[in-house]
This record gives sequence, C-alpha cells and structure tokens, in this order.
Amino acid sequence: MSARRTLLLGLGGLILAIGLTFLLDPYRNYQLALVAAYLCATAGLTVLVGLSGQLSLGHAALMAAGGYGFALTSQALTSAGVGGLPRFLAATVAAAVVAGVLGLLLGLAGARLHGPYLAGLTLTLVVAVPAVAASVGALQGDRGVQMQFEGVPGPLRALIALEQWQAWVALAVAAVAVTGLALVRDGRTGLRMRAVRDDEVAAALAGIAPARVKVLAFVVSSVTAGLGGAVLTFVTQSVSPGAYTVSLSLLLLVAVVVGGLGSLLGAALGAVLLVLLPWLVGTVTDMLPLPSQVTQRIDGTLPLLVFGLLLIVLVACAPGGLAGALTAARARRRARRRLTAPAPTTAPPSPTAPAPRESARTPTEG
Amino acid sequence: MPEREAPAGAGAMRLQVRGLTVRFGGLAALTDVDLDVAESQVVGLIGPNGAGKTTVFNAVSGLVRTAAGTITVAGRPAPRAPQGLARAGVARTLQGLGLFPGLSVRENVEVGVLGASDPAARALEALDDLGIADRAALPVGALPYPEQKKVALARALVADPRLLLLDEPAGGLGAADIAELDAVVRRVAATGCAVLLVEHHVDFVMSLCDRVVVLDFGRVIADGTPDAVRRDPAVTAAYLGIEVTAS
Repeated sequence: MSARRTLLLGLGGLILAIGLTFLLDPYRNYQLALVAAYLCATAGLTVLVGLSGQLSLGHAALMAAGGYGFALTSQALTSAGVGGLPRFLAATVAAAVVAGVLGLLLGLAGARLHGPYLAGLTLTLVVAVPAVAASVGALQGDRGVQMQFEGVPGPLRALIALEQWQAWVALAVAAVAVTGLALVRDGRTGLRMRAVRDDEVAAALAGIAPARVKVLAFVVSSVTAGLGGAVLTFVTQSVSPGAYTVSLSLLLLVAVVVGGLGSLLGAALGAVLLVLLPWLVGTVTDMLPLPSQVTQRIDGTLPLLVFGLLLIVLVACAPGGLAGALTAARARRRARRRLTAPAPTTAPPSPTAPAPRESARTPTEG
Repeated sequence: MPEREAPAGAGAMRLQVRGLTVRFGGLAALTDVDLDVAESQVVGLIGPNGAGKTTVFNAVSGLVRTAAGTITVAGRPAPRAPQGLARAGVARTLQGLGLFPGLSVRENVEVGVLGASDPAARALEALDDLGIADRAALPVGALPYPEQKKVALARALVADPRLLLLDEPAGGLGAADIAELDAVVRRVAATGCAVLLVEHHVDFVMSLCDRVVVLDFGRVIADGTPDAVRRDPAVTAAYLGIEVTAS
C-alpha cells in the first residue's frame, strides 16, 4: 500500500470514528476511548511480535512508563502555567520518549536474546516497574499520580460531553500511532523486520543488520505502547501501578493473538475485545439468577476464562486469528465469484507444491 | 608463508584468501587454506563431505571466526560481520536457500536490493532475468524447488555483486535447470563478477569453472584447471578413499 493511501485511510478512519462518537452514549464513548488507548499498545505489540518475531510480555510496563511520563510532565507544565493543547502535546511527546527510551534499553538487551529468554526479560520488567513505581515517593506510591481535571475545551463545551471529547483525543492519538505503524509495516523497515523474523542469517547476508532492526522494532512498539499509556492516563485522569500488572501484559498479548498476529486490523479487534469482553460477560452474569456475591466474584475472573477459551478455539480453528479468518473468508468469496464468472481464455500460471527434484549427483556426495 | 602469485591470465583479484585456518574447539575445520578468485573467473570449490567447503564460505561471510589467515575482498579486508558483505560487493546464496517464507517472491528479492530508488521494480527486473517474473506475487513457499533456487539466486544478483558465492547452486536440480544455471553463471561472470561456487555436482563444476580447488580434511589438495584437477591422483584418492602411493 502506498504511503499516501495509508495516510488517507488513517485520516478517513479517524473521521469515521469521530462521527461514530455522535451515535454513542457517554459510557460507550468512554469505552471507545479505552479501545483507542489499548489499540496503541496492541498495534505496537503486533508489529513487534508478528513482524519482527520478538516476544514481549512487558508491554503493560511500557504503557505504565508512558502513563507516568504523561502525568508527571502534565503536572510540571501545569505548575509552570502551561495549559491546553501545548500541555497535552508536550506530555504526550514526553510519554512517547520515556517509553521509547525504556524500549531502547529492552531492545538492546533483546537483540542478544531469543524466545523464552527475551520473554523472561520483559516479564521481569512488568513485575519490576509497578513495584518500583509503588515504592518511589515522587510517583506517589500505590495511589499513583492524580491528574488535574481536563475538561472539554471552551468552544466545544456546549456541543459535546466530556466522554465524547476524551474519545476524540484518544482516537486521534490512536490514528497517529496506527498510521505510523502501517507506514513502517509497508515500508523498507517492515520488509527488513519480516526478513529478520524469518531468517536472521539470510537477512544479514542481504545487507540487513538484524540487531539494529530488532532494536528499532522494540523502540517503535514501545513508543506506541507509551502513547497508549498516555491516552489511558488522559481518559482516567490518573496513573497508578495497579493498572499495569502482569495480567494486563498477558491480556494485551492474548488480544493480539486472538485478533491476528502481525495484523493491525487484528490489533484493533483485540483492543475491542479487551474492553468489551468484561462488559459483555458482566451483562450476561447480571442476567443470570445468581447471588450477588457469586456474580461479583465471577465478574473479575470470567472474562479471563472466556478470553482464554477464545484463544484456544481460535488457535485450533483459525490460527491467523480473527483478522486471518476475515481474510480467508474474503478469499473464499473471491474464489467463489471467480468460479461463477466466465472462464478466462488463458489460464494463469499455477504454482505446484514444492518438490525437490532428484539431483544428478555423483558418487562422491553423501 | 611464501607469497603466492595470482593465477596466470587473471584480472583484478576479487577474493584472496591466505593461510586461512578455522577451528571448532579442538577440530581443525580448515588449515592454511589459500584461494584466489579474479574478476570474470568462475572457481569451483569441491571436496568430499566434511572437507570444509562451506566453512570457507562462512569464513569469507563473517559467519565463523578465523583462527589465522587473511581474507581480502577487492584488496580490502573482508567485513567481519555478514551484514557488511553486501556493501562490500559480495553476495552469497545458502545451501538451505535462506528464503523468507513469510514474504512473497518479489519481497524475497527486494530484501537484497541496495540503494535503488524503486526496489520493487529492481526486484522484478532481477526475477525477469531469470524467467520467473510472473511468480512475483506468490508466496515463496508455493514455488517448486528449482524456482525457489532461482529466487535465492535473484536475491544474490539483484545487488550487482562483484563477487558471488554460490553454495551448492545445482543441488536438487534436474539436467534442464542445471543447463539454465550454467548459462546464468557464465552471463554473470562475463560482466566481470567473480564467482566462487561450492558444488557436489562434479560434471557441472568441471564444465563451467575456469579453475577448481579441491579441499580434503580442511586442506587444499589440488588447485588448477578442471583437466589438471581431474587427473590429479590426490583428488582421486580423496574422493575414492584410495591411498596415493609415492611414485
């Protein structure tokens, strides 16, 4: 896809999503803002895992880094008398930088590690970051950093509710993050990432520096996770260690796999599931004739179980995830249309299955 | 070690290996190997299994550490890391093809393009040269094996190398594909590119190469024209396991 088309698609998608906010009630707009925040993280994660082949169990920590970067910068700017859009933009950039630097450090270590060792390193990070944040006084411990109230800007105050405004901001940041990732995916960098993922030695022999590509993938993914953290902080008006636990990291990864590894559409579907599944499960359990104590207990754990079951079913039935299943369905529909259409005069070349031929070898070879 | 002269009639030296020694722990994989490949020359590196042929390629490519010796590419020390190889004008194919299964045929070749303004067009051009441009959009795994080998070759050629290292290019190919490969290698060499190939297919090597170097147990046991190498009793002994008696 050309860069121009990607940019136009990003802009078109943002306009459509903003239009959608007019159809939703405030709570749904709040949920949409959460989807946008998680989308920043899942989109970055799907590029990291699906395109560059590096596993991260620590994306919640990168989101936390972004969230704290956003909140602290915003507080500092408020004290300095800066407000409005400049404050938001500066705090968002700070969130991206903090998460990006953390991602750079992770990437530098990750370039020397593979598979379970890299997963172990990122898991350590997601355990350590909330623990450190809870014990550092400047980050205000378990309570976290509370943001001052960010209302709807003056001219829009009479037109839209706070939740709709928050959804607009969240969608704009997510559109920037996802469009940026789409440009990376479709460009030379994305091609290099996929080459390194498939065969590092062959990629190196073709002139690619695998370590550099892997570090770059980590930085790009971390920056977007940091943006997700910033958006989440903006929407919830606070950041605390309890919001960025190991389970969030695992859920982000599961969302990416369920959505379809390496697919930005899959990342979006995964982000929607992350937000809607607990709500859907809660709605269903509320309808069941269960004691309130039981309902309360299962409300917290049942979504995880459903997510896990969904993962198992999808891996078994559609390894490409939801996005892969959609693509396959589209391909089947196209094939059916071709079958019903008049046959072409010349048949296109049809590849045969790879079958190494017997070589004319000499007796000297083993 | 006495200074070795370049082969007679050779142009500018593209690859010069002197006293190359590679050890894997206590095992000497290569011992004191000398090798020259000049521009427009096609040199075959042959030997029984385990003789050290691919280790020579790996040493030149920076994939294994050398214990001793020098490797120069176009008069300069060979890059220490494999990613520097392409910029030094060296391209290499791998015995296991080294294709990227998640990429299309065109993308597999595009990965090898260096500095072109339109890498996709350059990749298509390279595929067209080998007669498989119509396969460009397919996943590389969907191609039959001989065409996969062409994709690997196209990726090596798309960077316009001055030194081409081919690791078993004829392996797994039938007679017609080998004849086609022969023509491609001759065409590439005619542009001034030096070609060093490791190959088990002795007839292919003997008909194509200007010089043949024979390795056995990590040492060079013969280096000369195909005819001279074919007549060399040490080569026969290495291949057939016959001891050469002193005459």
